[in-house]
Amino acid sequence: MQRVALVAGGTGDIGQSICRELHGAGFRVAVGYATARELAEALASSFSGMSIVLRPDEEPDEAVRRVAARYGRLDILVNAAGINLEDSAPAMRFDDWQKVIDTNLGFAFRLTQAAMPHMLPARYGRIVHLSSIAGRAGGRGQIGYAVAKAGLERMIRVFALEVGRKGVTVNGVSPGVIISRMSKRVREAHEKELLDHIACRRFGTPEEVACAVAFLVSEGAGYINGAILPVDGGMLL
Amino acid sequence: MMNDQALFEGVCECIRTTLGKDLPDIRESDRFVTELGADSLDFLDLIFSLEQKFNVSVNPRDLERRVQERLGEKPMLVDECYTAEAVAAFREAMPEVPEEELFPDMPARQLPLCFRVKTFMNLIAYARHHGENK
Repeated sequence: MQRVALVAGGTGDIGQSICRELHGAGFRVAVGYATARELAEALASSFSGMSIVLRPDEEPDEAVRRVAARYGRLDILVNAAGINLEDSAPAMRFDDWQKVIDTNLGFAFRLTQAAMPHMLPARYGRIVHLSSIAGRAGGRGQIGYAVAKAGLERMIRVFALEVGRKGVTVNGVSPGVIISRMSKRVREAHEKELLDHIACRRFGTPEEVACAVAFLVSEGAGYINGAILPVDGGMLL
Repeated sequence: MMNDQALFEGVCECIRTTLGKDLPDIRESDRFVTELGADSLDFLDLIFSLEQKFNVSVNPRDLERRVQERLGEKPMLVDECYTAEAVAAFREAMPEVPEEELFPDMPARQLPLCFRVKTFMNLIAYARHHGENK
C-alpha cells in the first residue's frame, strides 16, 4: 500500500523540496499551490503526482477531499504554506497583520480540520506544519509572522493532544534561516550577525528541512506527537 | 435496500471501532455520549466513519436545518438556546429521544448529548432517502 501525502505550499522553495523528498520516500504526492499553477503542474508531473489549488483564503475541505478521492486515501498532510509581511510592530497595518495571521495560523487550523474526515476513520495520519524560529525568538519586524508561528506551535500541541489516541500524530518543523526566496532579504541584510548566532555557522537548505519532514511523516515516527523539531543549525543554544 | 437490522449492525460496527471497545450489547436507545462513553471527538469520528461506511453525508446540523424549515421565519435560537417551538419540532424530528431531554431554553450545544444509536440510524436513512451522497 502506497501512502498518500498532500503538501500545501508545495511550490515554495521548501515546499518543492518536501514534495521531492516525500516522493523519493515512496509516497504518492499531491502538490498544493495557491497561485503558481504551472510550477505545481510541472513538479507534480515530474513524479506522476497531482497538483491542486489550495488558496489560504478559501475553505480547504473540497481540495483535501479531491485528493483523498483521487487516491482513495489521505495519510499525510504537510503544511508549508505561509507568508510574511514585514514592518515594525507600531507601524504594522492591521490588514497586513490579519493577512499574515489568517494565512499562517487560520489556514493551518482549517487545513488540519479538513484532514480529519480522512484520517480519523482510518486510525492513521501524519500531519506536519512548518513553523519558524520566529515563533520562539526574535521576530523583529515580523510581529504578525512571529505571533502566528507561536500560535501555530500551540495549535500543533493541542491537536496532538486530542487526536493522538485516534492514531493521528501532529508535529511541527521549525526551520531557522534557510536559503530560500523568503529569507533572501534577511540573509543579505544581516548575514554576519545571523551566522554568529548559528552553531553550524551556515544557513540551512530546503533539502535539510524536507528530510526532517520526511522523518516525522514516516512509519517509524509514530510515537512522536506534539513535537516541534528545530532545523536551525543550533541557533538558540 | 438495506433493512433496519443491517443498518443497526453497521452503525454498531462503527461505534465499536470509534470507541475501541467490544460493546456486545448496544441498543438502539443507548445514548452515544453519556451511556456508551463517547466524547466530542468520538462524536465527530463516528460521523466521519458513518459517512465512509454508508457513503452518505451524515450531518447532525441537518436536524437543525429541518427544524428551521418548519419554523419558517421564526427564530430557532434565542441566546444560543432553542425556543419552545423549536423544541416541539425537535421532539417530532427525534421521536427516539424522551421528551424530557428536549426542553424549552435548552442550550444548542447540548443537543448531541441526546443522540441515541437510533438517531444516527435515522440520519443515515434520511440522507439515503433524500439522496445526500458524500
